[in-house]
Amino acid sequence: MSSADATSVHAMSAELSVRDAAAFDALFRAEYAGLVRVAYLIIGSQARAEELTQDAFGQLLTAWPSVDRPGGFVRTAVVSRCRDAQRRDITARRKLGLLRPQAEAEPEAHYLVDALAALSPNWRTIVVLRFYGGLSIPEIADATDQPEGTVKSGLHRALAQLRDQLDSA
Amino acid sequence: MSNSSDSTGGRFDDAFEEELKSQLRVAVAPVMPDVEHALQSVHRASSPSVDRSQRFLAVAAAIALIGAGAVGLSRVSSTSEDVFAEPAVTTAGATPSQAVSTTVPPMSDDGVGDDAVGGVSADPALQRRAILAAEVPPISSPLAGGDALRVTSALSGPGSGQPFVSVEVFADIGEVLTADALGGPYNRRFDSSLFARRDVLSQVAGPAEWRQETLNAGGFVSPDATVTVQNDRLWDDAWDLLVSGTLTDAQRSLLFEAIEVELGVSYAIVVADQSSSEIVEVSWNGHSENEPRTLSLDAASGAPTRYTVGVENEDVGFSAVIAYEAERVAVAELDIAQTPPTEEPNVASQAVALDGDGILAIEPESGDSVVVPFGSPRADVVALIEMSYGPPGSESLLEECGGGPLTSVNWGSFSVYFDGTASSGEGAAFAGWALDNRFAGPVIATGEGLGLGSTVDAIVTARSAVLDPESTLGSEYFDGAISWLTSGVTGSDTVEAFWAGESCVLR
Repeated sequence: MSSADATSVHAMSAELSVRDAAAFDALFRAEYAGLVRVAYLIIGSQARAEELTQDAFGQLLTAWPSVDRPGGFVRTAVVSRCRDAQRRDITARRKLGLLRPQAEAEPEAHYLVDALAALSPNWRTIVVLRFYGGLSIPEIADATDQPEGTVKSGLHRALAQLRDQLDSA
Repeated sequence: MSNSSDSTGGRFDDAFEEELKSQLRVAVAPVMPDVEHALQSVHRASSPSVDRSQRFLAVAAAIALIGAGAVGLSRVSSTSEDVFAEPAVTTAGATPSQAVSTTVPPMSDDGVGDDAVGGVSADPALQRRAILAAEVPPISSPLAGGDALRVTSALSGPGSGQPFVSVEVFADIGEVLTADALGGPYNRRFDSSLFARRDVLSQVAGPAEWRQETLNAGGFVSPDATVTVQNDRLWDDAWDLLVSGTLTDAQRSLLFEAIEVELGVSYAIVVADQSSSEIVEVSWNGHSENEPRTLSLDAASGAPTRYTVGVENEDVGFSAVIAYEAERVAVAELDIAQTPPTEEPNVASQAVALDGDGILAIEPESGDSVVVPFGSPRADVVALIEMSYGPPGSESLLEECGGGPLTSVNWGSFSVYFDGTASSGEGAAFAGWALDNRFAGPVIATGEGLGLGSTVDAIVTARSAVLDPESTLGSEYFDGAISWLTSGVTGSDTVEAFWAGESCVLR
């Protein structure tokens, strides 16, 4: 997390002015649905996507007075939460085999989206941010807290894997 | 298909990428979140009525836990000094005798469950009454080594498969948990870390420090399992207990009927509204330490409850929750279990971690973090660290630093630097931090779990650290924010010191 995303202990309990609250609401209305969809593509559950996106906006709201780029802040927060969720899922599946597939109805499967699910969580995140979120490499690097080179190579290899999977299917 | 340079500079088909974009758009088309409802939820969750700084992100943790659901209880203290003798929370609960004599019908009878489904409209008084009523008389003498802890998870409905209940025992001070500390089928872990940190534990003296020394052991047991405590010192020192469960999909749509845990615990009960995430009731039951209780919750059938009951004390905040659907608690604990303790200290149990831009305030249960950046007021930074480590052990003036004089505030091996020399700290700003293994002190690490003892391989992999060939200090790596002094340059060599921000390293 960069210092731009930081908040002081004091800021955590700060109350927003009316103008700040209006700005926050406007940002929320503009970005929420899109970020939920990004999160959904990464973690595969709309309920959890909504939950973590709201958490991210809650974090933004708390830190609002000290955040320079609220859009970037909340995007990074959402991605960070997605990665946490991915780690939890992976761990649980590997360790326990407990977690069942999401009970909620999943959208109609599409072959590339299915192949996307087979990617590593990090690569999947990168691909989603690039091809659904429309983020640039530097923006993905910022959102995922990785060097640009790592993002670039990850994206390249992810696309290669997607193509390989499709070719072998 | 036409070939061209792809997004990364490689060569792929334009059509391939376009098809990928198209399918992603189609895949998310059904995802139509209710933006206005979500916005209201976020505002409610951020209500200033909750003192977030004092709770130290605890509410955020609770919110996170509530979302996925959890079933948990946590024993919060048993140091010989009763640090919770005068809890800060309002003593609104029943006295032990009152609790014993109170009789309240199940929530399904008094409508609490139905109200609770509505979320905000749930009657806190009814909720509280139902919760407190579930207490039963003390079961026996205080728990001791050899006593059995029985966990009962009763689920109703047509769900198939067994719910899984995780029993975690957290050792805070002193005794080493042996392989026999827990009985029953479980995935024991972290035994080596307990041994490895024995020297650290031996230094823990005050109640302000015990939280930071939380260690984890335990594993997953089947419902109705009995976990036998075999460590004679278990209930004499400070230990935590967390019980959590994971429900199957079929069960997820149902309510648990009762979760019962018998344990010796001094606890407060917190009732939070799930839909608004607001804490609506806090009560301190006033039970004495090691007074065994059974906390039993009954919920109405037919729909999920919307409230959450947690166990809280003033130091650890919302340390656990009891709620519908358990998933995150157990999984989060597994995240910890995966980590080799010598390379990646147990960050999840830390309340603060190190960051290249400052320090991270971490909610231990959820892992949610906030950066307290360099430049922050000294008072804030010290207060934050004190919440985990207690008052600093020493303070020194570093007048010869290259960037100007610094004041070093020290918690053993952990030093935090502030600019200026005013002993009062007035106006001083957070300038840097350092860890040095020549001194004993708290186990603290970066958000990735890197710290003293981490390997060169780990810092290179996790933080892309590179060797500084011109360093006069020896084997020094730098990752763009943090400098790492290691015992050598092979992958298995380990970190001996590391720092970020302004430092006072004499080169």
